[in-house]
Amino acid sequence: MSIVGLNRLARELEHTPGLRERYESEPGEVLGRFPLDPEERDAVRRRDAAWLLAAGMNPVALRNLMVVLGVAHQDMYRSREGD
Amino acid sequence: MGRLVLAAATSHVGAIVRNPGADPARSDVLHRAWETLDAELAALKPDAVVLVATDHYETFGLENYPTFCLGMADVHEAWGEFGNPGGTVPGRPELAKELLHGLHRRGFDLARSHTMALDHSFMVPLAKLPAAASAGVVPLFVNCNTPPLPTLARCAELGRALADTIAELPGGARVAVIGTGGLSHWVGLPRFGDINEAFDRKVLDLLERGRLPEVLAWSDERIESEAGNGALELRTWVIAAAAAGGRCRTLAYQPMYPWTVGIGIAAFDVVRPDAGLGVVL
Repeated sequence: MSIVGLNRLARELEHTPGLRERYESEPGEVLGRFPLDPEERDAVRRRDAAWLLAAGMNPVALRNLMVVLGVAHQDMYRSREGD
Repeated sequence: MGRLVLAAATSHVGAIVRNPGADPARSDVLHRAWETLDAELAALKPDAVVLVATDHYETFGLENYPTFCLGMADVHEAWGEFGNPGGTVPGRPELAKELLHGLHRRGFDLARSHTMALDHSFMVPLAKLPAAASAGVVPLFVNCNTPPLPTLARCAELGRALADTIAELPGGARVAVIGTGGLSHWVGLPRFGDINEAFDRKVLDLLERGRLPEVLAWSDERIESEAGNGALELRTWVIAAAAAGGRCRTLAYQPMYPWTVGIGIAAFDVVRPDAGLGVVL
């Protein structure tokens, strides 16, 4: 689990100007800037909070990541099927 | 000699200011309590407020994560993250320097930041307590979410050391200490939105009866299991309670489901330990 990489991703998507917009158009390129495993990159692209939590991501950082990716706090663990 | 003029604690969830009118039968009680506390603070004319709060991975990341960190900026900027209050807050760097050295002499070699930006754990209470913001703030960060956390007992020791340091401040400085966080809530977890009212009322009851040592004996595992990871922010309450040394006066408590947090607002009777009236810890 790339705990540091996922936390950095969450903070930088929130705070680095333009990065969130860049992620919208080129998610693979943005995720490639961070030291993440392929499974972790896939989980972020799926916005799969349950997977990331189970893998060990801190829930506070995970909340930030999900919200910045457009998933409301109360919707983090709702099914993403059809999303 | 300086003086600790007030010690208090409050919850800090952003919904307090983003959705203030939710469930008016409950939220009105809380808003009145903040107004009461703010008026009490204003009447005491503090020179500064030590605001004991945390951070939600806005300011600190895992590249460098302190346990305790004192903010020493002339002006502290706020993140304004996710719609929370932004702007700036006047710091008190000279007083912060005195606190840093005084705490160091007492065995607390805190980290310090000359630029520490503030998230909602500082900014929401300041929005509800404008007298604190206008007095000037020394922010004291406490790690409440990245294990291993400082133990509750260690936080109580810090609170007492903080009170002793304030008592020795030069120039008769008048200082308030306000902790922010809790009570029960779950952040980023499937149980988000739940509240454990029984847990919250037990905490308040113990503090009201001067039984802080019983709270200090609780493990983080117990607190997190019963009241959520957000309840680990009780550390900030412990620091304020121990600094005061006296009993808690609960100004208001409401299980605020629309805000997803058990909201507590309290003041602590300031009793100098050397006066023989304080709670034995």
